[in-house]
Amino acid sequence: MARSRADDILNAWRAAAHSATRPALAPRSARIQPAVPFGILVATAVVLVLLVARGPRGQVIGPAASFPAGGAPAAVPSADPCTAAPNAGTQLVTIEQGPMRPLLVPGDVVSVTSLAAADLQRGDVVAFDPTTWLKGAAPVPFVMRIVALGGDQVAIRDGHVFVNGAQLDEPYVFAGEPTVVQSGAAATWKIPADNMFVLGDNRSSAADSRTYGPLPVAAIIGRGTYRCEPLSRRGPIASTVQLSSASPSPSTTAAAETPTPADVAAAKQAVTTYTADLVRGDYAAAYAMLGPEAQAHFGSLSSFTYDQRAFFQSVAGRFTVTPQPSDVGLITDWLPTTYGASIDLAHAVLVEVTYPAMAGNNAGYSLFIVNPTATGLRLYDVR
Amino acid sequence: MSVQVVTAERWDLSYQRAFERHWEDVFRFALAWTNDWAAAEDLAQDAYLRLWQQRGSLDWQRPVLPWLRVVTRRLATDRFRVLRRRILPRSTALALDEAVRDRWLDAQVAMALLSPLERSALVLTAVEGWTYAEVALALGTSDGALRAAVSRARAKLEVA
Repeated sequence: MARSRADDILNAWRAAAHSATRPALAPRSARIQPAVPFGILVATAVVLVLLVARGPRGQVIGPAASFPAGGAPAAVPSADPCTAAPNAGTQLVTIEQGPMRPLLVPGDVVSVTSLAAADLQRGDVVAFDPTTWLKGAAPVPFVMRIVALGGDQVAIRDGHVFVNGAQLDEPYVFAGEPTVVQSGAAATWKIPADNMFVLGDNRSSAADSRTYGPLPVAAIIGRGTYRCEPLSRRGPIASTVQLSSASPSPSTTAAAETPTPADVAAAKQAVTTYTADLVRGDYAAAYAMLGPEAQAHFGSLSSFTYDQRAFFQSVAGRFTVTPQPSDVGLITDWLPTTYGASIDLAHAVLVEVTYPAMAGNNAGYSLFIVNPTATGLRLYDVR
Repeated sequence: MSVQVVTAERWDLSYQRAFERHWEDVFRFALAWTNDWAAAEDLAQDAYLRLWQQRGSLDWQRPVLPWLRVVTRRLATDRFRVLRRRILPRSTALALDEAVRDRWLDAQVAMALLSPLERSALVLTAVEGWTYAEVALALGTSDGALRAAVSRARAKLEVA
């Protein structure tokens, strides 16, 4: 029996439609960036920012109108740092030269967040306007690292940097090069208020505060928080600088490379307290134990309470806390990028909480990274 | 328990996955609706553009295909788009094999006798193998209206 006319048509339709092939997916950079060459945009944006925001000295850096009442915004971890949002004080800067090798090489794109001058710290990677140093230079931002703040005494001798007499421990310096001053002699600077001492990580080639002297705070555009391109090296930029003779923070007492049994027991205790607080309904106490990025992830205490209350009503008060084996790989597997910079991987402990009332359910367990900080243990929810 | 942290990387990955898994589905739905190859490619691209724009507000834990279908249909019925399609020249699907293309052009002529709703209803259920519930959701119509459209479409094609 002959097939029907409708079936013939549908078969023809199928043959054609199923031979359609999807186009290639554009790389992410092409999806989010404008067609205009990027450098031109950045240069224009910087000129505008500088023209607009060079108001009263040293107060707020960057577009003043970008901050809500109540001060500079904290970086919001859930927002995409690589989408330039001028109204959130974020812009993308393309690296043109190599003073920050190996952290940043020419062609890299860095997300720069403007912030209050008081929030700048030693170790911050900052973008700044070079025209204060080099009159008539193209207003393309330079990116370097702050090593000393206003009021500090900086000395360079024997290939090392000393701040207020303490030698800096600088693991980020390119190939461990010694830090020298062009004349070869030792040199000291007293940093005036509202100034910074900035150095490139590539100490042998960078032209920085060693050559030009302290940099006024007003020239700083913002802190480099995230490397957006290339995608293969995408990730947060850590602000790390340690004064080796200053009071050691937990991460500088690097005697043990893994958590001790006492650390694990303390982490277990912290998670037990946290979960017990939630079971009791003391959401504020539990919220206070979270690390700042984890708090930001929940948004606020009230949204945290809303989220947890519904869940813990199902838990029926029963839970088991189990520290996981000490394994950095296990932690990094679970670690979201937004928490990455703040976790002390060598000393953090991964702790699992299971809820028997929810057994067999996808919601039947939680995982926390317990991170030691100077102010005690902080919890990061990772599942 | 915790809300999934959706970082930029995860959006990127989720988007890429949605593109690789569902582009053909979206394209064929658009093709069934518009009966025009270039317009369908255009629509599929626009649907994915919407997906990319809304990546931050989307619940990526849930299947993304139903969302894409509804967005595609809304885009397809957008009044200005319909007008624009009328003034654009019809494409003849040059990327196809000659035999396939000739049969497709025949089918396209016959399919032009159906309304977009009838055409989509018939193609999606008979060729694409979607369930009636899925088609009804994507087309924004009721189950009864859908079944009526399918049988009406088939009857029209038999005499085409």
